Amino acid sequence: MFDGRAAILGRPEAGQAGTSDEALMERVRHGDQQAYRTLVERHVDRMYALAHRLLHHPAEAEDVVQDAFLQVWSRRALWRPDGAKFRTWLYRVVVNGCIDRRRRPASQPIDEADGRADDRPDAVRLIHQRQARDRLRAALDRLLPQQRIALTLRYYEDMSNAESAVVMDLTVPAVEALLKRARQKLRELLKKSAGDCLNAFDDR
Amino acid sequence: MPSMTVEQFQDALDRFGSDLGDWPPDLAGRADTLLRASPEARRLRSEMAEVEALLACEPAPPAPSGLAARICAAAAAAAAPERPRPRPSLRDGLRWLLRPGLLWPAVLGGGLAAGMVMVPAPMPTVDIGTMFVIIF
Repeated sequence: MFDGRAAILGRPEAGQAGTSDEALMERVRHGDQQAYRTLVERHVDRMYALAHRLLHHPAEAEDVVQDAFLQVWSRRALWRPDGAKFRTWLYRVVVNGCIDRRRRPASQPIDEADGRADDRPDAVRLIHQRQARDRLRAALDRLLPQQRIALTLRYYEDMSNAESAVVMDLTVPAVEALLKRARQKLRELLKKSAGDCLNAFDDR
Repeated sequence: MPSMTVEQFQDALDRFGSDLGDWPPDLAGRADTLLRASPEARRLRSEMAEVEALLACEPAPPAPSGLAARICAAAAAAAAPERPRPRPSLRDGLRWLLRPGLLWPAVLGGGLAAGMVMVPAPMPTVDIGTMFVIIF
């Protein structure tokens, strides 16, 4: 007898690496938990990075990603293979989850401590890099949520404006307008410091 | 091809970014011509490229270890069918009644009830004259 619990907790089935998300999702729709596990392992890192960039809060990012993947499972019967790509659908669930979280009062993020930095010979350089990142984050935090989402999808997820428009449920000109405002604001906020910040990373 | 002003260039730069490959071809062509001629346009583009390069320096935060396993475990828990409870049999009922905590109270209570049913107490008979004596 097929033990679903064992399958979902077990090792991913060999030979699924080349299977498309949509083919896996079609199997998930019919209750295939092995296919579900493969999808989770394939996308969890990217979705966590996206949520973390939008929330700057590790615990909340983890919650959003977990909720999103559980929705994939619980709403699998609603998946239509002729509709949007799975990746786009998943992005949309994660982005909407982040928007919901941002509407709630935020708890104080517990940032990952980089305790190793002081032990390294290039500690000063790492401190400068950290300061540069903090300045960038502070600037990103001053963007409107929709502007930040558009910017994140464009620069970190490498999406075209058309793809971002599908994820954000907007028109392409609306995404362009959001990106325009976001770039303008970042340019203003980082005008004097972008060069200095980049120098901290000059071994890129 | 109409020429592009620095203001138009700035607007398109904000809309499409510093990589002319992302621009609509007609705008990209006009921007290219302007960039050859205008140091101000080159400065603006360089400024935008710096901001974009800074964005690229932000590393992707890695997912916490074991997150995928936790998600799969939560989905597995949701997927596990709830076992239907079997209907209690007569033997289960007796076993419940004979639990150590219930055994002796049940025996005592049962004995008392049986005694009341089997040995009815006699009704007291008092004549009317005795009642007057008791009252007065």
